[in-house]
Amino acid sequence: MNPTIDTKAQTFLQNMAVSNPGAASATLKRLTSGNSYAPMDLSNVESTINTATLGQNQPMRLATIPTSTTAAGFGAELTGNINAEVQQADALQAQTDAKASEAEKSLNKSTSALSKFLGIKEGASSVADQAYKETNEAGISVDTAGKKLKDVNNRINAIDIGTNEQIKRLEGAGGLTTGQLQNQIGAIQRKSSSQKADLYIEKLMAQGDYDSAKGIADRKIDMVLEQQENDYAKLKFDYEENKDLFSKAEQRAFELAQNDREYELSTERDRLKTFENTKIDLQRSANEQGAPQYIKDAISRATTTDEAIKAAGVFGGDILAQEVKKSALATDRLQRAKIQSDIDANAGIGVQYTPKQLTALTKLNQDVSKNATYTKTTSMRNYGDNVLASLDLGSGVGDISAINQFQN
Amino acid sequence: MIQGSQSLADSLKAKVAKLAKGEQLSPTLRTQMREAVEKMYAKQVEALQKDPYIAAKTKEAELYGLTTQDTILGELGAFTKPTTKAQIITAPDGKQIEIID
Repeated sequence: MNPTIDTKAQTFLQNMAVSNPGAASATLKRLTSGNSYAPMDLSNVESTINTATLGQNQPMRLATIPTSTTAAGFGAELTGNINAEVQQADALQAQTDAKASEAEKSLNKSTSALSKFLGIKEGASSVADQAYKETNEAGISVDTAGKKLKDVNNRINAIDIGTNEQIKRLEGAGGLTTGQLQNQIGAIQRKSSSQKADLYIEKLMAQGDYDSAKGIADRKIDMVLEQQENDYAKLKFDYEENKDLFSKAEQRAFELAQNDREYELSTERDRLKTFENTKIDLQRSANEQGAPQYIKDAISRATTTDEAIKAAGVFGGDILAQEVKKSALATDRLQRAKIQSDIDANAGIGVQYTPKQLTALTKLNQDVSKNATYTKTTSMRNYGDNVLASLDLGSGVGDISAINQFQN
Repeated sequence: MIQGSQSLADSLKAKVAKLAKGEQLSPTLRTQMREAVEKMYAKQVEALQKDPYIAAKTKEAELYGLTTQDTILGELGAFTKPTTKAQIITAPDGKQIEIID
């Protein structure tokens, strides 16, 4: 540390350097820059900020962050559903196979050994085989749906095992507070339930149950966005609880910012819904038109609405036009809702602006804040405020500080 | 005013060494500083009001039925020129109508 400043000043600067190294360095430079500024007398300056120095401030009341609970329940429900369906399918298949085998035995008695030898298999089991392969009007066969069911079941079980393992490791690792642990577990559960929902949707689509697939997709979106929604709700709650601590300008700033956050969340929800629904509609269209498997796979792998529509190609029909129109309508609805909320935010503090005024005001303030004369004026106001506040101290230290500010 | 402020600043600079040793400024000097700061700021606000860009923006605000108090200029303290603001009334058919005097 520089020898020209005293110990108290050194301690002060060291403390300052922790939170704001740039300011500490600038202060040191100013204190040791020769004749341009007189050295500051810091003998009366507290080296740390403590509760006594902040005693005049009213404490804020803050709520704890609510953690999402849907993910774990939704994931368990999907696993339960798929396991039950597999058991049911296995039982039905065993029943059908047993009946077919019984029928074939009696048929064999009257079928010549020659036709067997020639490979003419017109037994009951071959009829059953054919039935499994036949497709319904949605282009789905029992075989396809059955295979998909087992495949999805295996993959869902694998996700469950992986998720449990991850959670166990996290709980065993230690070092996290209960809240942090809950957050981490919540994130893992949301990811795993989201993957399971995607698989379950695939299975429902393979069975031709598109409406249920859309239902699961909607629930998946709600689950994915739940934590963000909780966070925003907490912000709003904390703000309402402590509203009196903020000035009118701060209240307006918060409410407009909160509107922006809620608008972004609604837009994201809408985007995800459009994406999931488009994918399901495209799969339906592809199945009904007998599209090859690689097209269906490409739709299923798509990560955006555009990608899914491109993957479907001619099998997409006019879904693109429909989705574009739906999306534009939804955006328009959300934007109108946001403008109304912005108006309400201003009305809530006794000022009412029209949407046109609100837009003009935002732009006007941005333009003015960039003007050189305006920035010079605000800077002068700040220096002036500091001079007056320092003079009000009525002490030698305050006078030195006032002179320094006055020179600026 | 600038010259006066400069000479005040110079005389204050000369006093800093004494202040560091425990002395204080005289009440007269404190008042002079206070007045100088207030006058300089008032002049700066006047200059800001005369700035062609700011004048244009103030006019623009008026065209939208806003007062300068509604804008960030209102936070500077000396912009008090009253202007008209749009009033919104609800017509019998439920439509909202903007009224600017």
